Amino acid sequence: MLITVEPAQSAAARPPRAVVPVNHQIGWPMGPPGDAAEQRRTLLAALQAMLEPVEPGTIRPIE
Amino acid sequence: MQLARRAIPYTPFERKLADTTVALVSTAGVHLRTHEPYNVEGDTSYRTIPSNTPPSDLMVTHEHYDHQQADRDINCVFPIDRLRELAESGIIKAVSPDFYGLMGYTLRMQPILEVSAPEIAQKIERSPTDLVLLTGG
Repeated sequence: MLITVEPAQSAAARPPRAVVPVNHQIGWPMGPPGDAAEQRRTLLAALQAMLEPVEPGTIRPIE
Repeated sequence: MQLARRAIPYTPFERKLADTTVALVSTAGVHLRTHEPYNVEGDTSYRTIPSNTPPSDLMVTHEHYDHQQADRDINCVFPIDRLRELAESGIIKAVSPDFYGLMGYTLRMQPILEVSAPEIAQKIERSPTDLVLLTGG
């Protein structure tokens, strides 16, 4: 599972599964520094996305 | 790019998270402070990062994204603490013994495709890993 904030660039590599944390930016894809709660939320959303079957190559936004 | 012309590999995932051991691979330029830094002009090598490494022992060498946030908190790009916390709380089964770091900048894709990526994949396959998370910078 790829966690990316550059979905267009990532799509070129055609990852089997990918998520895009909405509102996160280059340099902090998991969440802002010191914000363990947001980093944990991103991580859990990415892991949860593994449990849902998708078309290979789908890049999904996570809130 | 050769990789993009291939069919997209896809393996169904049927485990529960509580039965899942997770590895982390990042192209954000993370490595141990004791490692040789990446060559910022382009580097196809990788670094093995034990998953029990304290975050203070990690650093970023990468000049192609702004890593000031990651310098303050490595978990911005390499969620090593967050994964260990999920394992400690039983949300996932465990973290894999080793994680892997690369610097995601090179004009030479062939050594990545033919050397580094297969080596990392082989090491992960030989470890008790069920799921791999990939992060960039």
